[in-house]
Amino acid sequence: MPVVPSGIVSQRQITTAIQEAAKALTPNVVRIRYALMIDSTGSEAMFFRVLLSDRASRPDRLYETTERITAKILEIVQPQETFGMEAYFNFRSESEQTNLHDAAWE
Amino acid sequence: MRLPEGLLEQAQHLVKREPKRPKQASLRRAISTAYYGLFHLLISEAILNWKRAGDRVHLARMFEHSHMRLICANKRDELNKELKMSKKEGRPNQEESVNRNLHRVVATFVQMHEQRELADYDYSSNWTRTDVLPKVEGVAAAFKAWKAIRNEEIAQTFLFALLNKKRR
Repeated sequence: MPVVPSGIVSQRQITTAIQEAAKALTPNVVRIRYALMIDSTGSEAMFFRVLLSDRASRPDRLYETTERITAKILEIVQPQETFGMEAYFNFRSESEQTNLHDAAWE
Repeated sequence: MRLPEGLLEQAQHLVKREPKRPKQASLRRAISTAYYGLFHLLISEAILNWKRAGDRVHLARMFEHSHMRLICANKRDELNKELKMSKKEGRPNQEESVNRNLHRVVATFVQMHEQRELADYDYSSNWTRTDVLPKVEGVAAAFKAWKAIRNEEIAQTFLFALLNKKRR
């Protein structure tokens, strides 16, 4: 997927908002990473990678947890209202990341 | 069992198929299949409005993924504004409940359309059960939301928009 050149949007503004969201979501959220990329419609979009604590990743309440986290990130970052971008979300547990050693999630 | 419900059930099966070490193929197919479940749910509902039952299968082939996604994104944005307004005015009513259910359907469609693209074509990332399980459950919630509003005026108007590309 093509990456959006930096400078088109204020990366600092986005980073600040994401840090605020991550803080508001502790301890369920360990960290939030993002990338600005072109989505399948050809538009710039924010792709969020949300690392959850193992406790927050329990399958019996995972749906509600991810819904709540998504809503909070949208509320604080406001990808559409402030940056005019669509937002997409992917989640992973700490244990899964430990096994995968995926640099993009570090 | 109808095709949409069958696809959703298959996605729910795939996401839990290997309890210890889920295969990438199972997780990717779970995402893709859940999306197709929702895609076919909306199409199957829309074509029911065509009186001549024999033509419905042909009508079903006229729906396009990208157009449906565009309509869903527009409807979601419109509903976001309305829901924000009704929250401000403090008017909890039947209309708001219908709007919330339709919002769930359209927002899920937009999200899953993109996730399906990634699951089917993008090799760059690994999928995990923590990611896929709530996405499949989200589609199940969208099915439930749709069934609660399927006869409402706003839902029927939305179905028509999924097919209608341009006005002359």
